[in-house]
Amino acid sequence: MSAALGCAGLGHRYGRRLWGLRDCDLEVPAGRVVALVGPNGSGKTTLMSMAAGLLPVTEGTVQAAGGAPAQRLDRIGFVAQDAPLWPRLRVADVLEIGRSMNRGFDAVMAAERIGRLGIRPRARISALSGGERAQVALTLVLAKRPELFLLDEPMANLDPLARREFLGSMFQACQETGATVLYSSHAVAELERVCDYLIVLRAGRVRLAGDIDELRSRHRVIRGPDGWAARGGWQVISQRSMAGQTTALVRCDDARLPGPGLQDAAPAFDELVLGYLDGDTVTLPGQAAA
Amino acid sequence: MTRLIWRQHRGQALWAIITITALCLLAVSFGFSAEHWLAGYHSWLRQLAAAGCPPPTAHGGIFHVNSPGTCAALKDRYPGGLQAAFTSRYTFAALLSLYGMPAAFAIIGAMIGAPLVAREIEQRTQLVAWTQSVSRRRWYFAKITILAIGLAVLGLAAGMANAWLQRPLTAGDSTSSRWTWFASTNLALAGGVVLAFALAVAFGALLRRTLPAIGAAVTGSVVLLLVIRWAVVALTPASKTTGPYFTAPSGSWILGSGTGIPVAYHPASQYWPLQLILLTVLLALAAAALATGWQATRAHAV
Repeated sequence: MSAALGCAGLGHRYGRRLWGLRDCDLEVPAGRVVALVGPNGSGKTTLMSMAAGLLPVTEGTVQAAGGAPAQRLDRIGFVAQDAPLWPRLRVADVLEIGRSMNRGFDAVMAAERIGRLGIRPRARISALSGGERAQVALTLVLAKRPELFLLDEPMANLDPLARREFLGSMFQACQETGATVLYSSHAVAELERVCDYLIVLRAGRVRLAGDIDELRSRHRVIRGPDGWAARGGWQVISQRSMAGQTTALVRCDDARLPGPGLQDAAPAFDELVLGYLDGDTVTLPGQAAA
Repeated sequence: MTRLIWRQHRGQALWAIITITALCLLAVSFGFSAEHWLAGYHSWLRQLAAAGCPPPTAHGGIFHVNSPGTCAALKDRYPGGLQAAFTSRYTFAALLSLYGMPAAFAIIGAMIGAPLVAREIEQRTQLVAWTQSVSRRRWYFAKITILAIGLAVLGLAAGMANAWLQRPLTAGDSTSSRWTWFASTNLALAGGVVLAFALAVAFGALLRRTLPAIGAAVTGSVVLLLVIRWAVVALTPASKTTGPYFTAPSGSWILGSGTGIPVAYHPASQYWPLQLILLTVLLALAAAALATGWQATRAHAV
């Protein structure tokens, strides 16, 4: 399957020194729902902006929806953080702009979705709540019918019901059109429900990327008396000591036994994510292949 | 694209058209009023002549007065002669025409140009505008083309209205010729408003803030208009008189102080060529500013 998003040595430098993202190598297969996770300032928005053709590439290359992002604008749907829209325009104006600026814009679906959400088409954007504005922005992107959705914390302003509805729409779009979704969020629990691919960014570097099931099978959470991890043989991602017991997320491609006195379990999704967010910032020798 | 431009800029277009229409109506009504006043003045002169009264310009001499009572009644209707009487009444019209119109157009051009890129960045809506299926280049050039053409049309209309007002003002001796209005009528307003718009777009893209861009563009365009007016008049080849300044043909623009021999001047026939040069220079500067604005817009990293 071809890559919906491919990066090779991708980097962007803000100003002279500050790298927003560096040495980013990714191959996201088409049709996946990708969770992009990382602390604030880790490069999520930088990666998305470059993939959306908004931010120039300082080094390396990025391919989105089968080409350079600036040439694939019609196949990429991007929603920025906080879903900005023209505050003085009305909802119907925004949808009409979407129709006039995108070939194949599904105006019927857009109007229907806005109506179903109870948003008045005559309302000005500035009069909407943050969640309603996010819904209008998402509708604009859904009606564009892109191959690649880039959603930067799209659900930050949504209530739990709206989140569920939105994730459902997203899933439906993926299944109907085979679209790929890359979305960033801090709500790790929600990501687990819908995502099948994970990218963890930290300090401008990709720390982990791959199919979630595969990643889980390659990691273990091992628990035992303090000091076991130092005995070697393990590639420890992160560890935590409490009451004489050390719990660590380790990476092991083989299925060897952890040894006597150690408890061994497959990591839950959040253990995997938090382990990588928490661990040392050493660059890993290799990343899980997709 | 046209839908986007219409939806985003129709409010601006509406108030710009209302303001400019009001200014044009004001200019035209002043023009009518001045013409009416001049017609009254000339009929008064005829009445004086018919009654054999001395004309207001006469300072002595012998006149065969038919009815002294009529002369006494007519004498003080327009005190101080044509210039004093007319100027005291139409100074405001002259100020509006000479300075008000160019200033209003500089402000309108700047207020429409400055938010074009800057407000999008301030509101972060460029993230939406630049991620639709339309390239950033097309977004920028479609916007500036349509808005600049619209403003130029409004500028031409106001330039015509102002030129119409200038005629009775000059006839009423407020100024010696239409050269005084060289940078305020005809093609100058269109050039000025496009330059102000272009500077505002460029400053907006560079500064990324709307208000400072408006200020910089208004100041910059007024200064540039004055400099270019001076340059067009001073640097184009001028004619020379053979005698003192009054030997220049009527309707000429005397350059410099007008003392000495020969005196350099632009004859009346040079008015339109120089207007065209003025417009060309203003539009060329505007094009340079818009190109700078595009460079800043293209390089803008979000």
